[in-house]
Amino acid sequence: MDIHKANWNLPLWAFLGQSLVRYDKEGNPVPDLATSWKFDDPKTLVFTIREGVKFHNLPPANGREMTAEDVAFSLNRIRTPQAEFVWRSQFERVDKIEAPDKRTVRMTLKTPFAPILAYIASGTVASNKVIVPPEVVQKWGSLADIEHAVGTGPFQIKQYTPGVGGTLVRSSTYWEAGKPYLDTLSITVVPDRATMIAAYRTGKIDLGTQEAGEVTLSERKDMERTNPEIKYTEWSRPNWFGLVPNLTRKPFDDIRVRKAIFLAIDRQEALQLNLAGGGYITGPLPQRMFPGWVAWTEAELLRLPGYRQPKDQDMAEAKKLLAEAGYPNGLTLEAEGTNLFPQINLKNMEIAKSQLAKVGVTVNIKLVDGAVWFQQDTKGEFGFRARGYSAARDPDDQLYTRHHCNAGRNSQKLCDAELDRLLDTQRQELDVAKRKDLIKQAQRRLMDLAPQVWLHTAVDYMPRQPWVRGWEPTEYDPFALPANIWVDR
Amino acid sequence: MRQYLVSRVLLLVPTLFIISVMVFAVVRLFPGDVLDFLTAEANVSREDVDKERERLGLMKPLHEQYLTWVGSMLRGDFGRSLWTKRPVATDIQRRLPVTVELGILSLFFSVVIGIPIGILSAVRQDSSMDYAARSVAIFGLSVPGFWLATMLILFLSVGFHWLPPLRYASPDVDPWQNIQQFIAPAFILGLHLAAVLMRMTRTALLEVLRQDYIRTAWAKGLRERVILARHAFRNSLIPVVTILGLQVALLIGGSVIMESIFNLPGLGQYIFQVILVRDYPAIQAVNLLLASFVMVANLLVDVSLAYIDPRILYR
Repeated sequence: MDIHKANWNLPLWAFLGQSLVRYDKEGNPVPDLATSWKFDDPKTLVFTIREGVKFHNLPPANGREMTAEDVAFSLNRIRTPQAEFVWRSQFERVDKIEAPDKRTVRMTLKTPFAPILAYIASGTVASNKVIVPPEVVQKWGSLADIEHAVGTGPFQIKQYTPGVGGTLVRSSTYWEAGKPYLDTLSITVVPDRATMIAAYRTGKIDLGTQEAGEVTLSERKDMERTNPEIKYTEWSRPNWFGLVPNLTRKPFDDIRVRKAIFLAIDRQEALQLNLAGGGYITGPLPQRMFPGWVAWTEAELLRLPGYRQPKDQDMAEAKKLLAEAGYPNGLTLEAEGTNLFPQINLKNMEIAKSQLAKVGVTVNIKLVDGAVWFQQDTKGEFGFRARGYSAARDPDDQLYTRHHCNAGRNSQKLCDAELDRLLDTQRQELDVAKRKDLIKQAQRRLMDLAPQVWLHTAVDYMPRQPWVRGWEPTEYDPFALPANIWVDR
Repeated sequence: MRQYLVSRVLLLVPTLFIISVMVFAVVRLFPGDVLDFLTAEANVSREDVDKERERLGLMKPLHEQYLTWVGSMLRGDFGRSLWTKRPVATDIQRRLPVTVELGILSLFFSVVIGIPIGILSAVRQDSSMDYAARSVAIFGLSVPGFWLATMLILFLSVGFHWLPPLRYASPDVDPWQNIQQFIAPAFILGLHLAAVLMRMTRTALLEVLRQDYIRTAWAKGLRERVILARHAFRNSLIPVVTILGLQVALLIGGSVIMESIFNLPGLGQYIFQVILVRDYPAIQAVNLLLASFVMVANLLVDVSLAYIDPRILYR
């Protein structure tokens, strides 16, 4: 899979490649391969490229210096107008990316675009806007073969077999003095969860990373019983789960029905039943990921209608709304479920089914497989589904691309002029305080429209053996600077 | 016999043709294609996705796609994966030995466990030994392999802090590690087959032991070992060997699960992944390959039956 195209996690690249900027612990973009950047004007962003950065000493780059040309090449490649380059839309406001000299990259925007830095720092989990030497793409036609990967990261590929694992070794050309500390990093792919957990227990694996190397709260409790030595880092997933109706279909086009469902769902119960409490209840933005940007803190959120306990008042109002909408005797909803993704989704729908039954709403769940699920999603041919949302660490990716009338990922077809105005304006607002305010307004507007039922964000645990040091995964960067890892034993 | 063999081999060609059409049609009958996965959750326009479909040749008429595929298969080109873009042949080449090793080891276990126990429980019918063997067989038949495998891993890791090595090592690189990795999955897969074989051997042998010529052999004063080995066992083998041939298909199914649990990068793991993402060239190639395995296994069974029982004449 080509890192510049992949819509799926490619955790290996977190060790091999780097981007211009990365996220710090608080989610702010900080220098990585760029040492600084500034807006010459609201539409021109200029990066100064770090000096002395070299590619891995592997053919065809052979340890040569990385220049602005390579940066322009890599970022422009991600903008290739082909469907497989799925990240192009994050650069849709970019007009051109050029390298006027060896140390400067100039990005010209069509309109001011506030989230651009965050988009360069982000991918599905680690940034996939990695800088590669053009000769690799020329030689192999793409970056599809991880065996041929060349980047600027602290480790380089020694050997890798897809689906099995491989060995990464210290890159002799790495730019941070004295780093990385480890000589070798051995990566093993373990598809079966029970096997993976057994491997942690027996100390066969030193640490678990994304994708899927993290464990849930109940799995952690299980592991602690037999191996209390293992350490964990709490990690709030960059996604959240919810119940999403198709707004073009009856009865979801009626806001009263939507609100009734919104009120009738017991989020606390869903969190307990589904994740055994291993997570937190979310609004339109997951609170722990965007502390400064959310309209309600976790405590405030839990006092809102639909979220508050006990449910009596919400249930009564839900019944009233359904009666007003013309369903005094209840109604039947057609829903889909899939086994493909974390069981969390299907379970959420089953929980919703039992909760909605209390207000006279019957839910019929039809099981479909993964490809059908996605196809229905892109074509907008679905009824009601429980699903997860994952996005870059910028509220724009969470709100605009899902809820703006013209956005490609707005599969439920929400169209609201006021919301669109707020979402359009925040994109162009470079003043962070003003932008935060617009984002908060957008969340309030969303809450009024109740297009979906936001449920919860799972909190997982990244396990590591006690001898692993210097590895501090954060919400924003689950790979946490692999150059800093060392082993004490 | 030779004439029979030639005609059987020739018959493989139309069979393969029919299978190729079926595989080709069935993968396209499932709704959804690889682009639905590649662009899932992405902010991409439907037009761009269709352009990509066009580029990959997925929009061409079906007969045209089929002929292109068969044409390249005949030239030995299995095509490239639509998902990883790697040549399918490379993937299969790397994974085939794993599945073959697992299959052979499982068959080995099933034969060395199933047949001797089957013989013993037939000879000592209704003894406590027979009852014990039959209980084991029922256990082997009814306990699903995936459960047994997961329990085994749990038991080893919690009880002994031991696990088979996680990363696959091929037998020529590290034979000891390779054996550690294969012994458990092969045993579990073999156990299920052994149960079937054991029951089949027992039934067949019981039937043969009641035949007149066995009574004659006893009357002649032959020793039990001679009666069993020379007269009874060989004649009871026909249903057993037939079953053994049919098991090959079962083994392939079982390898899908065992390879995932024990982290063996074989075709079983592969086929699961490629079906999930609708990787047409890979699904087609693997299915065709596995179908040929089953066909060849059946052919071998038919041929070996003639050796076991000379009365069987193929013309």
